[in-house]
Amino acid sequence: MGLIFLEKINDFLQWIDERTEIKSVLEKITKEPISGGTSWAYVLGSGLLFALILQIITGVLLLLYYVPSSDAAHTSVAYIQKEVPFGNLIRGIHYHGTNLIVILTVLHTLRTFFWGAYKNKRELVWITGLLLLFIVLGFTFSGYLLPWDNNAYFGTGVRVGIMSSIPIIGEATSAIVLGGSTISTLTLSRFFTLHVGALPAILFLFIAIHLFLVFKAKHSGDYKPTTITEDFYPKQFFKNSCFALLIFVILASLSYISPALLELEANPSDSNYIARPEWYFLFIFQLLKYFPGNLGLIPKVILPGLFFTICFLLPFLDKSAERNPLKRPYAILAIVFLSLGALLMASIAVWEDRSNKEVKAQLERQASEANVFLKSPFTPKNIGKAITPKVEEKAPATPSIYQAKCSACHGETAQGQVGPNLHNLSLKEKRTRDDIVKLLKDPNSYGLSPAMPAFDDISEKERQELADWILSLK
Amino acid sequence: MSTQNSENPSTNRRSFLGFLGATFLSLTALVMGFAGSLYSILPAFSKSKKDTLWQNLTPLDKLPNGISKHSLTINAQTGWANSQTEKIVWVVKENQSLNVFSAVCPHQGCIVNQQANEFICHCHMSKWKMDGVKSQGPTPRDLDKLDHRINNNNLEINYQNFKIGVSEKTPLA
Repeated sequence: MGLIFLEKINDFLQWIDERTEIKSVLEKITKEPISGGTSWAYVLGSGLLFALILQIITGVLLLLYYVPSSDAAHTSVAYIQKEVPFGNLIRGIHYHGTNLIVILTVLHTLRTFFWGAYKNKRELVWITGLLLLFIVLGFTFSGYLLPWDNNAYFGTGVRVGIMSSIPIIGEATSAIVLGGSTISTLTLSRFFTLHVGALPAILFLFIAIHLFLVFKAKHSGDYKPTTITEDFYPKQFFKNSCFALLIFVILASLSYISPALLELEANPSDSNYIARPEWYFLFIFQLLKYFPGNLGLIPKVILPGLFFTICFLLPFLDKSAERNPLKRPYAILAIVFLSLGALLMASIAVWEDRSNKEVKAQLERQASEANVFLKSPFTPKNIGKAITPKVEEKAPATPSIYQAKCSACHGETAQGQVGPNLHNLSLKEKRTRDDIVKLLKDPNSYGLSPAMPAFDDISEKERQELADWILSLK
Repeated sequence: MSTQNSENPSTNRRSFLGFLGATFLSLTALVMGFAGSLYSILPAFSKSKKDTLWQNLTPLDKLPNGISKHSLTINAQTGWANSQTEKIVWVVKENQSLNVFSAVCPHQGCIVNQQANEFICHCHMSKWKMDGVKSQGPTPRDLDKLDHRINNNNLEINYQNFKIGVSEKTPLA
């Protein structure tokens, strides 16, 4: 029995393979030779892929409860974190995963740079990698606003402000991004669309291209010339899996040790609020302090622009075949210098905030408010119109004159007997209040069938009362 | 560092490392699958919290004889929202008797309407008499009576939803 079952599975796999040649593809991937042998240094790329997959899974799960509208977004995020089972874990992984992806992206790029892995026909791998870096930054930029707390609101304000200061195109660009002149619920919709619709599509495309190019170019391997090679499987696969598990354990633990930040709901009139950028933008934030007025364009636009232009052109500027970092001192020194500079600027930024009493106190207040908010019980948001009971309007007491004069023919509840049903008369266009009053006064002129007798002993006031009541019957 | 494709002696080690790696990946998939499933499913089974049991419908002296239509607002927490939904009930007052019926058709859940001295559901043409007893059509049971009481000369009701499509009147949690 068991053998037959195994054979069936084998037949099925064979059937699949005949149509896909998946075996040879898998073989190619597992037998991918790594010159100089496998290494822990090569786990960063696959780690990034793993972290991105985690973002996609947690992101889709967050969509289940998140509402992209300025009046509900914050409440729905609080609901996820405080009420939904494992909501804290799901949002925690998504939140801390962002920071981890930024770190991994930088490390992966640095590793590629130090190993000279952009050389030797790998220009396109390098360039698509840099494009992916920008896509990741697009994700952090658009995702930042979604929780609609003070941090999101004011942080996005600063970022869009920087964008609008770019000469010529700045103002139009920021208006298009915001969907108007200020951050509004329309901005939230735009950022949401970017974050869950447009960017993921572009991300998948570029990951596919990047991986395809990586396999085409073969693993770059060690920077020292060597004849030793090792297959990707199983040792590199094992190292990559260990790293993936490590990433998962770190993110899951962080989401419990330090739950994802959710400050108080965005309050545009809170003039005390101090916005501070994410740690990876702190150095630009600090540089801005040294360049007053229009000179601010230097750290905001010109320096990053110059830096990334050089990055994109790197494989064409540096054409020497030498990959050993020790033999490329200028390139390495330039990166070390820039990294240390950024680190220094970020440290000064933190130090300045801590040594300014007022800023320090306000930042601590914001942190403790967020902390208290996260620990307080969840309060739902009121939605839907408060409907005041319309009972009286819908079923007013029957006028006594109706009971006396009309009910014999039209029925106790005007549902109709000899005379017609009087409900829903308001739906008939010609039966206005005045028309009904007129009809009551002189029914004969209406030529009704069955005919309605005239009631001369009903006063004008009573006729009006009857008309009002009849029109209220639904 | 081993050299090229190692042969027999290390085959076991090879498959063990591969197995271990696959186990690590499966472990994360398992945890995410477990957490993600409960995250998605459990809120669907949490009881919605209705804030009050008895709700005021109308003062007794304003209640007409025969059939009258009334609406009331149900406040309930659904997920992140305190939502307010309007519900329709039919009150039938005849001599000394007073009945309150849910306007939800017990057949497929459409809204039941009044037609002269009867109730009708226009979805599948079920009919009930004024006292809520089924008279015609595919409805499996009479109209659902709602609990009511008189308090301070006001008619108060306890609005409930009932399972549709079954012959027994069964309240939903």
